[in-house]
Amino acid sequence: MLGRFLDPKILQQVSNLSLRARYVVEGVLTGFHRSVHRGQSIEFAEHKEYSPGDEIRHIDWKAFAKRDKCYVKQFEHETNLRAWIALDASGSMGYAGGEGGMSKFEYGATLTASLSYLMLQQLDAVGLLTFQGSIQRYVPPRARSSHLQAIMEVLEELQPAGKTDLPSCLDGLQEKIKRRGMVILISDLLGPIEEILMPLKLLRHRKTEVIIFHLLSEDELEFHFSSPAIFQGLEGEGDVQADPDSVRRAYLEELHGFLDLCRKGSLEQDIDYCLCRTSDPLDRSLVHYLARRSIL
Amino acid sequence: MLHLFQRKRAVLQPFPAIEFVFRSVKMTVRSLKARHLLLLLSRIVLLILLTLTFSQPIVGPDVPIASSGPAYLVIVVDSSLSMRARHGGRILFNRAIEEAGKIVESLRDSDTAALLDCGTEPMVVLPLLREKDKLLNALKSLEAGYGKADLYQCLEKAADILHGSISGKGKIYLLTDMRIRGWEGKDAIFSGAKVFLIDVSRGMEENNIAVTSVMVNGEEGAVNVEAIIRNFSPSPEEALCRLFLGDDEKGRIFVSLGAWGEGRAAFSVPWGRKGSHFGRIEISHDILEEDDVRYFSFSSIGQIKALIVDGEPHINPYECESFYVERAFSPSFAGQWQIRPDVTSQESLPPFASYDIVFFLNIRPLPEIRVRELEDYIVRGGKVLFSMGENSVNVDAINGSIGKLLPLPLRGPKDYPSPIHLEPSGATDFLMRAFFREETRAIRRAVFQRIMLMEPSAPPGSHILLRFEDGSPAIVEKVIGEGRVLLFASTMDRKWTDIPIRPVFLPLLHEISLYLVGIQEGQGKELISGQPAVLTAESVELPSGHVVLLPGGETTFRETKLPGIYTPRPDTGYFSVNVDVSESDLSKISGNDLVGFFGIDQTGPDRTFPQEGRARVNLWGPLLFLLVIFLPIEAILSR
Repeated sequence: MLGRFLDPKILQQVSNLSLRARYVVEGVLTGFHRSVHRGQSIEFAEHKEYSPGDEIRHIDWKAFAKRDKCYVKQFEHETNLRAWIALDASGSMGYAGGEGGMSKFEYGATLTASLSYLMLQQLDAVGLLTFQGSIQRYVPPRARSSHLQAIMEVLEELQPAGKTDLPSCLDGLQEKIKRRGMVILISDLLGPIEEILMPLKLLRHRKTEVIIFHLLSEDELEFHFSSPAIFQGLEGEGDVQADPDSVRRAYLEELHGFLDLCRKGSLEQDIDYCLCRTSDPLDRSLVHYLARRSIL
Repeated sequence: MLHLFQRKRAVLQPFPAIEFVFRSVKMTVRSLKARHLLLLLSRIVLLILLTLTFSQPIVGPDVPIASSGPAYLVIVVDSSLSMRARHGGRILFNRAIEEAGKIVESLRDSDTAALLDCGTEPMVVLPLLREKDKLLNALKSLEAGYGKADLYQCLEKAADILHGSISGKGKIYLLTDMRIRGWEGKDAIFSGAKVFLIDVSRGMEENNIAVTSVMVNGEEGAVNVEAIIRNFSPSPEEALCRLFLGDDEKGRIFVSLGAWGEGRAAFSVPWGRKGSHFGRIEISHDILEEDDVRYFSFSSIGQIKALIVDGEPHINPYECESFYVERAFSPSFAGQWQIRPDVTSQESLPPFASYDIVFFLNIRPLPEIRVRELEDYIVRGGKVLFSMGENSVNVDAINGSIGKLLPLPLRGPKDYPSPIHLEPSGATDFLMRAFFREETRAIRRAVFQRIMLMEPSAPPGSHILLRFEDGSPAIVEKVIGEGRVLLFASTMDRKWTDIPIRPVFLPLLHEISLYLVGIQEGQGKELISGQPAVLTAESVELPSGHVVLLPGGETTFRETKLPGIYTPRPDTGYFSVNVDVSESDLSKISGNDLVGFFGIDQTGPDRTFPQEGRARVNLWGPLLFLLVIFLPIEAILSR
């Protein structure tokens, strides 16, 4: 059983794509990603002068013939990526908009499932971490194909609720990451962005690649409301009565300022930032993203 | 309420990015409040504009046309002499015409208006009608007069017009200069209709100097002219007075005038010419120019010989019956006529034929032969005046002696513990001319403690010329043959009355004398503008040069509106027409006097209207324009 977050259509579209880490990763298993560890591998990396103890079978006789000296070939290790997908399950992620489309959480969960499937197909290890005010569920990264089921079970059980404390949750994630890998943050980032970027900055400092999928609904991006409304926060922030026509301009200014901060902050930390509009088809957005990334 | 109801009700909207909404509301709250306030105000203004636009308000001089239903109104324009006073470069009358035009312009199609010219006589220029253009054209044809207006009579005439209308109700708009003259003479309160007073003399000074009278008399080879100049102002003035004989200036004198006082300018000019001549007295022009000149005509000196028969002579001349009459005639010039009196007693009667007039004062019964002589004198054209006294108390004796010569048989004396007065209204013209030289009230001031009653019914040939206020005859006339007899029902001394010491006594005697001798009216006489002249001429040249043809014979000539010298042809002597100087006093009527006239306060804002320089403007257009401007503003603000 695939589960509600595994859309065959999406899987079909992404199955031919890959999610490659942009940076070298650590790992010993033969996998998709380059490892910092050199040794036995099937891909030639460089020559090294023979020294007693090196394997005779690795001597490059052609190089000897050319240079009258003995060199041994060194090979790169292709190993697996360890990725952690951090999925925001706070109350704000439960917003679906007025047109009955996907909620941000559903979108994020589907994205999580799709990425998990992809990476497992790539023999990469993927884990899941969900959070609200604190880390709720943690599934450690595994490369087994059966690990997808575990991830799906967690996703199925989750209901978005509660307040967000993204910075402290990311701090908690840092503690779990022992070596280089990839962190994929799937969230609406509705919080103090500087505090959110700080732990990500630390991750980057530890050579962990970070990808942010910033999920926002059409309503949040365009504020297309027309009637005066009492806007109510979804995480207990309170409410305020406003005439959308009167405040739209100021709202969009604030939103674009926030998005600029997200982009700028991500760029500064070399974090791959992708703004996803939940009204756009996920398959298209994901395919577009993966294709773009593969060019880089 | 509309604004509140139209405000959309807020729906509950869960929203994740609430923080941005908080910030945006905070940023816009002030401008939102201001915008909502502006929206509310704009809607209020819009509602007001909408209401006003459809109500089509008119602003300007407040003409309270009926708010509902057709209005009936009479526009009364004061055309008295004082309306010729100048203010702001034009005469008040023209301002009144302009204001009247504004009233006509403001009439609605359903309103009906009449036009009345309030001059010496009220004249209905147009009856009630709706055609504005006719009213406007009629207004343009009006001219200010030179006489005095009787405003009460005019208002009564206007009220009659309204009472004849369909509704029976209406308003009278009286455009006047509110001078005190013109509001006099009535004790009754006017309540015939609602009257709105429009004062066209607002802001105008009231000072004026006028030449009020001119007396001309001649002697051998000279003309003596005496002018009385009056200062109608509260400050002393000095007037340069010039005499013109013909068109030649013959002299000039400065006359000092006290506050509200008068001065005299006397000229004596050598004059050897015979025939009829004219002249004028002129002073410096002021705000009312028309009364700054007074015309006169004169001719070679003529004499009226009068015989004064004293019925009770006395050693003490002051106690003579004839004392006052003699003084009135000695020396005396009635216009250019000199009256030379001879005084005698009944016992020393000279032949009557050599006299033009015989005055029998305090007559006693005459001998039969004297009566026959007297009758013969009268029949042949003689003129006699009988006055009463203690001698005539024996009415039977008097009636028996000269009864056939008397206009009315005597009945007997009557005493009045409360003295009575003469009633000049209804007096014939020749008597009223005397009153023009004095205030009308002057004749009323004479008191009579005793009068002689006469038989009530006048036989054929007899006319009652003047009455007392109780209706008793005062002066009665009888034509006998070619002559006339006048009977005065009181004394010519102070025994029964004080009239001999009243200023009106002298001109009254002069007028009586001239009347008796048959001096034709309008020839060698001074008339007041509008006063008719009885002429025997074929034509009359007016001061304007225009010649009016007459039917011939004795004619009553009425075209005497224009002041100046009139020339009857063939030349029977010039006559002059002058303005009514009772209009020269430009003092305004007080509020109390108006209350006395109308019975209520006429000086409130609902009864008098400022008119200066403002036209009535229909605001429909500007309001519609503002409405068109405000509609999109409201739409923009509400968006």
